[in-house]
Amino acid sequence: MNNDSETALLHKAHAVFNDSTIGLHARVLARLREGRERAVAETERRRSFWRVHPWALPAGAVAILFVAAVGGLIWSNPASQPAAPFTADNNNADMAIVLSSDNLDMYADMDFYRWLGTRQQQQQNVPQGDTRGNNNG
Amino acid sequence: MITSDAGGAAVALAALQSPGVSLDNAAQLNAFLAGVERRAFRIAQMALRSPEDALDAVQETMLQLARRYAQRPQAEWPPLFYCILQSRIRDCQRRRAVRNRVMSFFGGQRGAEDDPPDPIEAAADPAGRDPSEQLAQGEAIQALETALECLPARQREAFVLRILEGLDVADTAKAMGCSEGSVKTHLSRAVHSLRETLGEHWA
Repeated sequence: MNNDSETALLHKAHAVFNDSTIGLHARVLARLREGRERAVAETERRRSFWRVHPWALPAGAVAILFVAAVGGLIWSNPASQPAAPFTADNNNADMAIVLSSDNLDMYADMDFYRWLGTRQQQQQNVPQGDTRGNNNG
Repeated sequence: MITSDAGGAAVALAALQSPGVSLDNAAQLNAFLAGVERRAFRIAQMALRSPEDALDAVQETMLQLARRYAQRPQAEWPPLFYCILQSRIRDCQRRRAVRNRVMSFFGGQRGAEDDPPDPIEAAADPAGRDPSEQLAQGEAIQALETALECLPARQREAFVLRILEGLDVADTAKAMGCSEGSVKTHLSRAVHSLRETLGEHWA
């Protein structure tokens, strides 16, 4: 089959297809029209939203800018005290406290240390009284 | 190759873009859809073999185009419309395949011959053609549909969009989501197959 016959075949296919679209039933055409009207109504509904709410887009943009500005301010000026910078010395000191068994014993014998403190304070007070007594004697 | 005889989408678009025609977006969309709806229905019907499914596919396509792409330039509407339509056709075919699988699993598969007669097909020809003319035309379109059914899906899409609908190669490529080279390859193979199949009927 040569090129001319191929072209003729394609033309015939096109023509046959075109003819088949002419005699469509009224019910089919009504359904197609109904679908088209729904689609057009959808377009108008979307357009009417922007017509009724023209401020929606600028309001959204302003809201986004406001949130971005507030976020930027919080980021640049944090209200809370900055945490102590992490250094190797701080870390070692913290680890020493945690790992020291003495400190753990101290927390266990808190009553003893409280008594010891009171006694030391008493001992500091006693020599003052002795000094006065010696001066008097 | 058919280049001079423009398809429905091209005609609808040309009417919208002609000087002196100034319509708002909704009216332009209405005119475009009115220009392509019959052809779109026939394309869907050929692929789905069911007027009801074809109508659903075309209606969904119209709605999707209006929802998503109504604000796009009009020149983009034809490839977008047919891209959505082909997607709807594939969805319908997938749903049908799943339904058939489920029905066959339960042993209640219904063949096409068990379907009730289609009232649209049984109705008189609204174009008023005489029966012999109607018969000849019916046989020709039946031969075309049968030949198209035998083609692989991509070749069928390329032939339908490029030859039957009359989109150019670039728009066909956009509608099919492939390169222009692929369109030409699919089309060439489709034409080769159809030449062998339809040559006997249409010689």
